[in-house]
Amino acid sequence: MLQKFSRYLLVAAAIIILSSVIPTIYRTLFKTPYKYESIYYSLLKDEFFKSRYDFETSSSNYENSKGEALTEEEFHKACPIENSYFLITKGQFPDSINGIKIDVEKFRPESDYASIRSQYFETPSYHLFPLMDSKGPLTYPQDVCRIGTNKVEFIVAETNKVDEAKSDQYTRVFDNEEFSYPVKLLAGIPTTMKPYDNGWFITDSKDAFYHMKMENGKPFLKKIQTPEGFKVKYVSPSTIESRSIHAYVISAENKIYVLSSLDYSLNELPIYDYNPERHHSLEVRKNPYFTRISFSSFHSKKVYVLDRNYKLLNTFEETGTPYAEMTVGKAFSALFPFHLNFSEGHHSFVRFVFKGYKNISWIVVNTLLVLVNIFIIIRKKSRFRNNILDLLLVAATGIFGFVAVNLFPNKEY
Amino acid sequence: MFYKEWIKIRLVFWLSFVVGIGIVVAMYAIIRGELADMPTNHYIWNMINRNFVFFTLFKFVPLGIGTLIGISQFIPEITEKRLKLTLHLPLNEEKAGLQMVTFGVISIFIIFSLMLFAFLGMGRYFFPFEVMRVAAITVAPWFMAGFTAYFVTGIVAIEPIWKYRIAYLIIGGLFVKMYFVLWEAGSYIHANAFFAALLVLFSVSILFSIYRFRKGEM
Amino acid sequence: MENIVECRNLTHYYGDKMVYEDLNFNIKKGSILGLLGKNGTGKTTTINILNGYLTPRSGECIILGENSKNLSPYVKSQIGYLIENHVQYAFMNIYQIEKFYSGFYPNWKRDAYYDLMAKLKVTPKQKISTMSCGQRSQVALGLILAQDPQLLVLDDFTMGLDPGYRRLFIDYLRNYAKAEGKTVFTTSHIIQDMERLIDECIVFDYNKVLVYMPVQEFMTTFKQFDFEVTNPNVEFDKGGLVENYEKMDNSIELFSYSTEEEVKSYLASQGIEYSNFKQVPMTLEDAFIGLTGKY
Repeated sequence: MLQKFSRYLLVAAAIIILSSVIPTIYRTLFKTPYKYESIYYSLLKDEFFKSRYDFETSSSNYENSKGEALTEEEFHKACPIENSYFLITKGQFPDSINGIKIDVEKFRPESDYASIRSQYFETPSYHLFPLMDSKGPLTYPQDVCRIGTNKVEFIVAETNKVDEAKSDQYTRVFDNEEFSYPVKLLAGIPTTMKPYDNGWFITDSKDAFYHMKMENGKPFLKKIQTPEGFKVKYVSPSTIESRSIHAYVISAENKIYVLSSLDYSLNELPIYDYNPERHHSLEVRKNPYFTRISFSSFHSKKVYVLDRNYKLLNTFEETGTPYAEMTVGKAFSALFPFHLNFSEGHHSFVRFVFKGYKNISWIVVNTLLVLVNIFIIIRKKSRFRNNILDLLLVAATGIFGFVAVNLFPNKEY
Repeated sequence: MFYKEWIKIRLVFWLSFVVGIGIVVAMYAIIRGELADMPTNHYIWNMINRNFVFFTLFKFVPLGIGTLIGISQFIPEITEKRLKLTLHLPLNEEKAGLQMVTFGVISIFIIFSLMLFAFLGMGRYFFPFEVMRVAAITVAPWFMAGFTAYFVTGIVAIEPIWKYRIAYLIIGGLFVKMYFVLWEAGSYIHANAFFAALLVLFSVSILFSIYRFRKGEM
Repeated sequence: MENIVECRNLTHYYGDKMVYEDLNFNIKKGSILGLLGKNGTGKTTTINILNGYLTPRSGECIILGENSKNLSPYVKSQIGYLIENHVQYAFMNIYQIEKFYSGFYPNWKRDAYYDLMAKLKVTPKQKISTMSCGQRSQVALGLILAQDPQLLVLDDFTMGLDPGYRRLFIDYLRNYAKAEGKTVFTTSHIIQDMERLIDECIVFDYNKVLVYMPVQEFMTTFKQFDFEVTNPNVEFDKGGLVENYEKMDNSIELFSYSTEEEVKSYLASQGIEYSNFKQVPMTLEDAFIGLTGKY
């Protein structure tokens, strides 16, 4: 009895591993080409332009919203702000655009870029971080900070011991601000390769939102006022030179906010269809005159352009064919009733994700495999009664089950 | 039964024990040297920010130990078909098989526990608790790979037909590979329970091969 | 008398290759049955079926009342099994192996083992793998004696033994079996000395059983006749009176269960001229070769 059971355990193991391996081989063999395409916004013409990099000729192709091809020079001139670097070096940058006077000096300090990948939303963490001195030089501190279950602690790296005095000082500040332990989210830029330090943005167990810093060796903790019921999902701290922005914040409801450094106000952006589970990358590109926010999924791309007050200027949308509607995708779901992935786009953990059984196109292949297996059983003159479970497995798991049950022979003696 | 198993594996057991602990000690000796050249805080930032994994040195050591214990235990059984002697002992054949596997698992468990204990214990001397927590999460599947390798060695060794041996080796190999899909330290935190569950699938697999051997597959 | 082993209608194939069909034999309590045959005639196959390491295509073996497909621990403890080449746990020494086995058998006869070991020139710490084939055979035998089973199953135990050890083994075994009333089933492809041991024999040829009878009966009824023929091209039909024959030029060795008179009248009826006709005494080995042929 037990040896029968051991066979089914092995079959189950084989099905699980094959449901990851076979689809991976299929996907590698039938790769769908990826389009490397960038969308640019022209403040001058209030129009979107496309730039596509061609790997074969190592050159870029440009076209306007009507699909007409442009030369590089025409493209640079059509989108002066987004190509300011090229135009300024050539001395061709216009003084004004649509009557707005352009101040080249303001470009650098008021420009910002943030790339927010859904993968970062949930990521393995050490729950330790360096707290640099925001008023001091950009160096790594001698200690690491831990926000524990009921206090803040600094562990001196060299000795691996807690710096009690510094820890007490911070714990007191946290207690005064009614911080509710433990910490839920930690967002900061733990590197010295940045223009300045701006501490860490943290949320507590009750979803209160804080800004934590060290200034001249002294603790700073500011509770940020948030709307009723507001929950932070992700914070991308900004390194804008003018220091006008603290961070870009994604709420639990997938709304995008800009946290202003003037008064810690959260400015909600007029974008309502961003979904990090589908749109794996979100890009914020800011210059003194507009902010371009784009996000893309496997088959679609959406671009929003907002003015200096984050009012909507223009939008762009492009939708391709989803994988499931392409021929390879249709064949995929017909061949494999389900498949196993170890990763998903919206976190960076290893997880076992079984996906499938979304439609019934696999029924044909599974039925065929059941028939083939029946044929094998007849040829081996086995009894059907002994093979019912095998056939059920093939019917349910298709090619994976078929390979597995035949790999571990179901012999009767 | 345990007496016979012990005689078979004792050399490999002590060897694995010495190598396993030795690697951990060597690893920390290297880290000690590195910490002399680089301030500890930089070392820790490398870990936290740059995904630096300080304990890759023994990534495949548990795998090797599991395989070696499996080989030392099962190869003597199949040379000259000595398994016949074991199956002829006056006890149930399944019980005999399970006793062998139980012994192997216990031996490996002892070595791995001591390794893990040394690894985490010595690590705490250098690094904060959180670093060792993440390290433990990361090394757990490597140890599980060691157990899987042991089970796979068993079913492959005892399987009487070469064709199937190769098939089991491939499935087993893919399975072991799965324990090494690392992308960064700590990524396994949600996967370890599932990994452990999958390990169970292989645990009694040896019975299948013994059954086939006993039924005279050639 | 009670049968310790009953095999009924055993049929086995390896793939499409038939080993034998409808093999029937019994082993009576206290008797010694020898299964003789050349290499590859299915001797080990039979042993494997008997011990439950092989499931026959059809038919069954009943050992001590149990089907050999599923032997209980008790019945297994009552079968002493010596594997071809005296395979044992060669990674142990004689002390360890005794210690190991003694734990499994409640009626373990430690002294029987050590008595036999005392005769071997080995140190207690010497590993079995470093011993000579003869010494290994004594270790394997000693373990079986200590196990004190009802039935001894010995697979080709003479293989690799020099004559002294072979004689020692056989004599020791026969005395033991007869004194203790043990039943023995043994196979061999070396027939020499076997007549000292076995009571009954089964002779296997490829795909069939040639003989299944007591050794005494076989030795008295199966005869060899030598004579010379004038026509060197003479051929005999096998199957009737003639079991087998060998021809060297004009000399014929003819093997038959019939009497001298019957053979002579047969030759006359076939119109074969012969001279120097005489019956030749045979050992079991001669008889075996006569029956199965030299090839």
